[in-house]
Amino acid sequence: MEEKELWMNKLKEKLTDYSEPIPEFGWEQLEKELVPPPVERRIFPYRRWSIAAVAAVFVAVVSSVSFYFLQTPVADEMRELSTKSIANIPDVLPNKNTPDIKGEQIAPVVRPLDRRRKDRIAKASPSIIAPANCIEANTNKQPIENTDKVPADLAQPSVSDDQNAGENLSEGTGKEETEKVAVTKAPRKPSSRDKLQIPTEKPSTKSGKWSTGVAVGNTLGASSTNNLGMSSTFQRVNLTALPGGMVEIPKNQVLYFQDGVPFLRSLDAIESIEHHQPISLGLSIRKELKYGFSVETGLTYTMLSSDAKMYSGEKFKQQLHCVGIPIRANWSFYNKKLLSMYVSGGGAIEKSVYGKLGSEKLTVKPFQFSLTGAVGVQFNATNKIGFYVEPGVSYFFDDGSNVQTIRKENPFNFNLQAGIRFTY
Amino acid sequence: MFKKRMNEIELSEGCRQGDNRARKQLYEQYAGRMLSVCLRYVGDKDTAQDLLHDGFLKIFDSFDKFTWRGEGSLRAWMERIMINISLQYLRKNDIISQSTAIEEIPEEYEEPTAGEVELIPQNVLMGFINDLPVGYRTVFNLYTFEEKSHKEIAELLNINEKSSASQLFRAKGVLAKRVKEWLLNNG
Repeated sequence: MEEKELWMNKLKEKLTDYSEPIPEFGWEQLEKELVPPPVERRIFPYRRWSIAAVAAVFVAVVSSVSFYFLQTPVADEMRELSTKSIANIPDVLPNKNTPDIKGEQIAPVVRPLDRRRKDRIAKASPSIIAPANCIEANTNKQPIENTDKVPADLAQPSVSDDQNAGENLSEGTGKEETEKVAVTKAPRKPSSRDKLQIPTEKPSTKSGKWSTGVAVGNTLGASSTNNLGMSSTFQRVNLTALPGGMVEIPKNQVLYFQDGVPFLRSLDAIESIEHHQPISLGLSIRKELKYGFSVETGLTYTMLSSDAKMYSGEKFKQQLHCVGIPIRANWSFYNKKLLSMYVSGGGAIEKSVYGKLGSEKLTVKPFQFSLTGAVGVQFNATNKIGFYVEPGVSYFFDDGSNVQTIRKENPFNFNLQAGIRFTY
Repeated sequence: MFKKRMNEIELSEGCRQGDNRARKQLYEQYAGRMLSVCLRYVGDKDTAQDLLHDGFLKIFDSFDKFTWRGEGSLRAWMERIMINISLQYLRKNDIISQSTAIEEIPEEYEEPTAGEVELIPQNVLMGFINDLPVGYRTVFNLYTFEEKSHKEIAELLNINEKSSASQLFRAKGVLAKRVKEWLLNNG
C-alpha cells in the first residue's frame, strides 16, 4: 500500500507541471472568436469616458482649490509676512540725518498697502523716484521728506515698496520734484527710536488687508485721509514745498525709515518679490508591487519663476531651474486599462541647476529637501507608458540659502505636476 | 519556460476587462499546460485541442467570477474549467459508459517503485495515461490528479462507487504493466 502510493505520487508529481506544445494558430483561431467583444467590453468605452470625465473633473477641482488658495488673503498674508523679512534688512545707518521740521507743510497721505490694489494704483501713477531721478539728476543730494505715519505692523513692506518704486506717491509730487525721497515711518507706538519723527502724525487705522501708511504731503490732515479713497489722497501729495533737511545719500543707496529710524539701503537689493506658481515636469519610473502598491522614482524638472522688484525700482525676472529626484510610494485605488488613479506620498531631493536674476547668474548651492503628497491620474498610452497629472501638496524644508523662492515664502504649498511615467 | 510578467493579478485584471494583450499572454502562458490537462482526460490530441479552444472561450467569458487567491490560484481555476469542459465532453458523448474492460487485465500486478517511475520521461507517462480506456482514465485522473474520492467520482460520472474503485484499480494495473515494460525495453 505504501509503495503503491509512492509510485502514484511520483507519477502525479511528474505530470503536475507537464505542458503540451501549444497548438499552432491556436491563439489566432481563438482571437477570431473573441473579436465580437463580450458584453463587458461593449459597455467599456462608455465607462471609460465617464471615468475619464470624472477624473478630469477631479483634477480640475483639486487644482482649482489650490489655485483658489493661492489667491486668498491667507496666501497673501503669508507672502507679505515673508517678504517683510527680506525687504527690511537695513544695510547702513546714514551718518547724517536731519529730519524736516516743516512738518506742517506735509500732508499725510493714506496709502494702501494692499498689494492687490497697489498694482492698479501703480499704473495710474508713474514712479517719482526712479533711480535715475534720485541719483543722477540730483547729484546724490536728496532732500528728505518726512512722512507721517504708518501702522506699525504692516508698515515695513509697504514703506519700502513705496519709497523707492514710488508707486503710490505720485503724480503731484511728480517728476519735477525729483529730488525727493519719500520717507515714511511707523509711528503708532512712540519709543525712543521715534526721535526723528515729525510730530504732525496721527495714528491711522487699518482693517483687514488694508493698512494706511503716510507719505509726505502738504497740508492735509492725517486724520482726514484715513477713509478716503486712496487715489484721491495720494494725489494731494505735494512735495514741492519741501525745503530743508537735506541729507546726502550715497549713490546706489536709498534712504528709508523703519520705526522712525532712517536707514540706507542698497538699490541693488530685492525689495519685493512676487512668485509664480511653480511648474513641474516629471519623468518617472514605477515598479508595481502587489495589491495596487508601487514604488517610484524618477527625475523632475521644476521652474520657479518670480518677479523681483529692486530698490532701484527696476524689475527683474528671477528664474530657477531645478532638477529633482523623488522617491515615492503609491497606492492605486482605481486601476483600469486606460486610466488609473492613485494616492502617493514620499519625498524629494532637488538641486537648482541654473538660475538667473535678470541677466545675472543666480546660484543656489544647497539641496532642497521636501515631503510630498499627491493624488494622481494616469492615462495609459501603453502597458508601460502613461501620462499623468498630479495635484498635490508639498512641504519644502528651508535649504538655508538666501535666494527667495515660493518655497521659502510658503513652504507648504500646492503644486501641479504633469509628466510621463514608465511602469514595469 | 513561462514568461513571468504580467503577473497573475494583472493578467486576470486585463482579461476581465477584455484586454486583448492580456488574453494573448494568458493563452501563451497557459495553453500548453491546459492542453495537457484536456489530453489527459480525452486521450486524443485533436479533441483535446478543440476542448482547449472551448475552454479558453469559457475562461475569458468567466473572468468576472474569478477571484485571485494567491500565486497559482489563476492556474488552478483555469484547470478546473478545462476539466469541467473535458468531463462535459465525455458525458455528452456518453463515452464513459461505452468503455469496455480490457480483456487481459491481470488481477494482480507488480507495482513499480517511485525511482522507476522517475526514469520515465513525462511524455511517455502521458502516453500511458492516454492509452487507457476512457473510463479507467477518467477515474484515474479524477482520483489521482484532482484528488477526488470515489464517492465524488461516482457522482461526477454518474457511476457507482464500486465501479469507480475497480476502474481505478484496473487503471493502475495497466499503468504498472506499461511502466515495467518500458523499463525492460529501455532500461
